[in-house]
Amino acid sequence: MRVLLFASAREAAGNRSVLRISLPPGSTLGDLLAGLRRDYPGMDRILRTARVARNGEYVPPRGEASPLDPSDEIAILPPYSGG
Amino acid sequence: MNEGESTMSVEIRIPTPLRGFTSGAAKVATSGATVGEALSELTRKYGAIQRHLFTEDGRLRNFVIVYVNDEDVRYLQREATPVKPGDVITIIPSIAGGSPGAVAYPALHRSPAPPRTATSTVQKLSPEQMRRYSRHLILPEVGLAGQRKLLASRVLLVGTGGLGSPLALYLAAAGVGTLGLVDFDTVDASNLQRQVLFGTTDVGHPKLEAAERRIRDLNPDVKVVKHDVHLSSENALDIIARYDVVVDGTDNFPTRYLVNDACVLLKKPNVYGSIYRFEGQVSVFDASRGPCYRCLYSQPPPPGLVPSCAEGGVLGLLPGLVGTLQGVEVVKLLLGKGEPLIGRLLLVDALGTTFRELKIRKDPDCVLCGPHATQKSLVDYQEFCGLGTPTILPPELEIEPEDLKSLLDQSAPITLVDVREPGEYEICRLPGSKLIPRNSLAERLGELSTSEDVVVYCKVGGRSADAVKFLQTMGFTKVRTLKGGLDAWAQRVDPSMPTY
Repeated sequence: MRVLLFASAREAAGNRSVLRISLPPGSTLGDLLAGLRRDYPGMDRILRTARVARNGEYVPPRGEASPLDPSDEIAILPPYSGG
Repeated sequence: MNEGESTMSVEIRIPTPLRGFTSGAAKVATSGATVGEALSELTRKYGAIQRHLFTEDGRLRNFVIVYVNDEDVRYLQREATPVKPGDVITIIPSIAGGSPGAVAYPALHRSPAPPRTATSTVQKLSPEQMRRYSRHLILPEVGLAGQRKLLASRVLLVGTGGLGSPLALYLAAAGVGTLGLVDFDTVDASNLQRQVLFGTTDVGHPKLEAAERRIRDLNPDVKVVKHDVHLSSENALDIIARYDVVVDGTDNFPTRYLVNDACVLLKKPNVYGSIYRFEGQVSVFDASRGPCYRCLYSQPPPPGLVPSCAEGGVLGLLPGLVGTLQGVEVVKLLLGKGEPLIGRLLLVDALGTTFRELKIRKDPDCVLCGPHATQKSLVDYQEFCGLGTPTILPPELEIEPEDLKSLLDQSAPITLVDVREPGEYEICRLPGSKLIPRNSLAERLGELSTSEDVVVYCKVGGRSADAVKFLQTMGFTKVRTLKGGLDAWAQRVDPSMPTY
């Protein structure tokens, strides 16, 4: 599936804005996030306050148990406050 | 683009210039199997639109561009392009606005006549105002009634920086009658790269005075109310209560949560915009009709995790784009026209030139606007954002710039650690220093030895004090922070060092 990264999440992944990730069938959003935490050292701190959207819609809090589909597009959106 | 709802028909989106022929409808549902069939159904329903879309021999006019979802049908099978339920057909008008040139298709502009208003109301605008606002007056969505609404409106801009600059300029030009400005800063030379409200001669002067001068010159109809304060839990409700719409163009998390909370408590719409390097977010938080900022981000990030514009940099044009989008939302809210960005977060990426939209829903557990809200008043936002007590170190953990200078002159064995970001390091640095940004310190601890004499520095001393505290917990015993950072160094030791 496609994972879109924004702001500091992009920098944590070596300035990549899109990741293509394959997970075993039945994997959940939580599994995907755990993989990102494992692969990119700076990602854990960022994911603690970032919001996650799936197919253009925010995943509600505690939505990490939902299984993913390979066609899903996941977006990781850390907060930022520049003005 | 995911619409989040399934429809059993093919939807045709009608552009504004053609809505005069569809009784104002912006979307028309049809059931054709091809683009041609769907458009024929549209012309059967609304006969007058026929000649604007098709030539006399029934072909699509060459200036009418039609998309199915995000594909141009000219590169598919034109009118024969198949469509299925759920597809969206968009008619893209060629808009020639922006300069006093010709319009693309005058026939369309002639047709939807703006509503005429009685002469008595016309006289409420002076002849000068009629001329100034004429491009608004001939827009059916604004007209005289709308312009008078704008002139009677009160909008509060929190922050007159990158976002506040285009907002103040365009809202003043549009004739928003009262603009409240909250800022306590003075204009700095580093602001001019993006804060187009100010000029070179304004450097060193209070922002609010410079802003008032510029706005008065741009449009004397606008009354500027200067709030020369730091917006706080003590004054926010009192200030915000006096306005119709609030615009959040601030540059820090505590003020964003404060503005959000005060707007929810007072039931005021909060037009939100935020920028980061090349990216921006825009939304309208109106808790009576949709989510609030806390529904999106219930918790702020820990201090220091997200670089500010001063630390991370920002493309100067980006706030122009994002602030202008916020301004459009403000005017729509004041006029009561269009579809505001309520429940939608617009993501702008200037590097890729992409605009994405995400749905945001009200968080049923939101402490502020949810059905079981527990927060009924403002709180301490410095503390909420983990900034309650700035890191204060005992004097033995600090070193004055002059003392560091003499140690370095004696070639004392000192490891200098710069905890700023790479871009800041490029502008200026102490010779021989090692760059380890504050957020990478934990991962790169192996590059330092606990027995070394370490001096940590940053721009003003905040990040380095935080780093010293962290290094202490990791067993470093001879670690100090440069008091006042490179700003103090440049001022007191080396005036030739560039500052930013």
